Amino acid sequence: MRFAFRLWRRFAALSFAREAEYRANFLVNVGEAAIQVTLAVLTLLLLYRYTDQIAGWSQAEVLMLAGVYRMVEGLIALQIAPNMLAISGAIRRGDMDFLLLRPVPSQFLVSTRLMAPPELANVLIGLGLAAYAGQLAGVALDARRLAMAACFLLCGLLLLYALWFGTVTLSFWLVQVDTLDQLFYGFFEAARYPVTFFKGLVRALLTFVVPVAFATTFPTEALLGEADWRMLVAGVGLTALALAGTNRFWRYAVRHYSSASS
Amino acid sequence: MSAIIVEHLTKTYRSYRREAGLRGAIAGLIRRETTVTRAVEDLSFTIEPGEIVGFLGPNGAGKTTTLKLLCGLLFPTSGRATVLGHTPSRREPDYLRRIALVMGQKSMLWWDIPAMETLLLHRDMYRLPDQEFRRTVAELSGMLEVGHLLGVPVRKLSLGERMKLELLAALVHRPAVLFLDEPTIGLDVISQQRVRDFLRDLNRASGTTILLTSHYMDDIQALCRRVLLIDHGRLQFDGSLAALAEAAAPHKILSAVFAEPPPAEALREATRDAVRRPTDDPRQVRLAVPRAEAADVAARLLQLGRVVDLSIEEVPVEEIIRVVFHAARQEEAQP
Amino acid sequence: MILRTLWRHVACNVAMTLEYRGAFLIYMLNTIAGPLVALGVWLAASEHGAALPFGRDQLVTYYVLLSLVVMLTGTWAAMFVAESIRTGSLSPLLLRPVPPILDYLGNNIGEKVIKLMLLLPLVLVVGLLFRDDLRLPGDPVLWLLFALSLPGAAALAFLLDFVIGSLAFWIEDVNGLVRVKNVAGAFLAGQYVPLALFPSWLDGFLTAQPFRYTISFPLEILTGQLAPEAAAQGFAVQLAYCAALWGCYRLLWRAGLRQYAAAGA
Repeated sequence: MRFAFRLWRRFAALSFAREAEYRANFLVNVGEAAIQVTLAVLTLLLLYRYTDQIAGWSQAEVLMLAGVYRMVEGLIALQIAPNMLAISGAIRRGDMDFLLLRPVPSQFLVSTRLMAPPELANVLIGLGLAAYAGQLAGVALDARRLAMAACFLLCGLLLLYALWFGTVTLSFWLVQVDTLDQLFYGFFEAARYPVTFFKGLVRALLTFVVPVAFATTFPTEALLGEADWRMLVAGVGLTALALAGTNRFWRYAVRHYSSASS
Repeated sequence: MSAIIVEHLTKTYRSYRREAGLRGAIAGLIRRETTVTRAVEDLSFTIEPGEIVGFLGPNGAGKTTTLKLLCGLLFPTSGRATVLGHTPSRREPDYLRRIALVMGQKSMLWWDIPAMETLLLHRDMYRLPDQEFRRTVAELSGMLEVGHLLGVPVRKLSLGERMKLELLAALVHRPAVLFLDEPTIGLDVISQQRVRDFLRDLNRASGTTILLTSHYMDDIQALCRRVLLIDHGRLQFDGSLAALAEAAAPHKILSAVFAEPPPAEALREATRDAVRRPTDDPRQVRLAVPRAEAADVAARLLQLGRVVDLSIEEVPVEEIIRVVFHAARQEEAQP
Repeated sequence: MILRTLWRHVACNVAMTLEYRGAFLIYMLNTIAGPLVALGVWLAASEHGAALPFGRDQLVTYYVLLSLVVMLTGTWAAMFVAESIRTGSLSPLLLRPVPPILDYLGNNIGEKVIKLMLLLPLVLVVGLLFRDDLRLPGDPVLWLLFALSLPGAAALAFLLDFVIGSLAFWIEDVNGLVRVKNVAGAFLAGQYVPLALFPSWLDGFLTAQPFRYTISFPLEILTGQLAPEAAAQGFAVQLAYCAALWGCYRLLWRAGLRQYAAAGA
């Protein structure tokens, strides 16, 4: 475990070193993050001009969710996305050969070696927005709520990772898998809003199939003191299953890897 | 104990063929034509620790596939390979820590940042004690003369410099076996020379077993005492280059330049045991002579007139290879 | 000759896009996802008593057709133009007897042909799902005006995008600028929230700014929100913006090419 953490720290160091080479880019990214969050907040303000409450959510509460959403989006873009997007290219170009020959578990290596430091801006902005909105909503924070929220958040992130990683593993066989990533971003859009805004089939889809609910709605509910214990248990179980599943699938894929010939 | 033991190693691929177009796509769902590609077939050989062995063969012969099977990147269809006492395809961490792979056309270094950062990454991945790591880096960068390049972003370096740093990165964990796939491809002549010198020095100093595949005869000639010829996935020859030359080319090339073209009758008489080779210059005579006769024929030529230049050379290895492959293909063609 | 060249460009791009239809299908699914999510949210809002100036039917009509309009007026040339200027790959295009913009225009139109074929069935499916609330106008004049407003909208969007990408003649990295324009522009065009739902004190500004004319204007016509004079005025403004942007493009490229040649690319 310490090995994993030490290695991850080294990965981060390399990504930050790389980012330092392109300083101007960093500022642009931060600027973009600021604009995106502004537009997101404006959209919500427009929404709540006409009503005080939607499906039991007040404006401040939805703003809190928007903050959590931004944080989650930032975390995914920071740590998960760079790696997922690089996998199919690595397979095609043959760089995967090097990765498979390191004395490091390959799924870990392939999933954590890259980072996008500018996205920290999104994470911090999201955190800030959530904190501010939480204050407006009069949320009383305690350790229990925070722990539950963090748990939901972790489950959500890992579930989304598992889904994305599972799909990307298909690149060992299919060529055009890159575009499936696009589909996730489309679904992820729905995570901006509480899952309770949607009904029936769509809500079930967003909770269990593309589990955005775990990433944004449930953590926010936990902070508001409205978390559902059963969902947490279900989430943890689902996460454990999903991660085990992806590992199985990955190991199968790697065994049958035919390695681009030179 | 031998470093590498290969027994009847075979790797076949199954691929599907279908017709182009929409009709083909639909038909392909129902029935597909399977083609079986035998990338590597029934390979058997043994390599002792400290050897430098070259894999030679035409494109698509199976050299790189063999290399990848020995690294552990590919799963054999049948047969067995044992490297340093391990089964490569299991990719055990202990095994992976003792080998290294360098590929001529692909890079393991991070592009935008100095090579030193990649080296630190390797240090952490292979769990090398810091002192030992620094010592190894100093030693290897001295041998490769790249010490001053460690802090420069890799994208700013030339191809030759990058290849040297690739080697450094691959060797920083002191592997017992080094696999090289076309390491000098694309490099200028000087860089190629330096890489070969380095590999030779490395082998001498650390006893690292080196396996390399190459298209360049110069690599093979400069480095490898032993050559494995692979064609159509099969091992065609396993031995030294000298033995190969003897077996495949039992003659030498004799070349003489006269002050004036020698009389035709006398020339024919002198060169009756030899095969004339074409030349542009009427004053030059080129012959393929059986090894045993070479000296005699040379003496006879010297009698024919004033000789300005005389040389006796080995058949170029490319030609030997071509002969071997041609013979092998002919053998295969025969029922 | 220009038209024939353009036609050839379009044909090539159609073939190319057809090759990647799997990928483009997924882009289209994405194009439709955004408006659907927004629609779901606004419907949820109205169900919980929000007093919208929009009827439910207008809301549904707007969002169902939104993805079509977004796709038809979409543009992505900026980053490619900027890159070709930066890397020098613009040079071969300059040796042709037709202006480089034709290349990008052909690509734009060609891709849209296939995208339309892929998107239309999806929109029909969504339309069927919401058929109870879908209120398509029966008046053929509205449809005609809608159709007329689309080329102008697409041209405006394309020219704006192209002009910004052309700033690469002078600015090293315009990608950030392009992304900002895309995000802010989409917002101001009514791609996330119909402009009619914005605070009324912004009306003047919103109706005048160029982004309105790329997406909101056609939809406003179709959902019957515009009185005839307002619509006529809108067309005039749309045309004016197009002309102005065309002028910008010509000026920028004349100056820019001088700069480009001077740099010895």
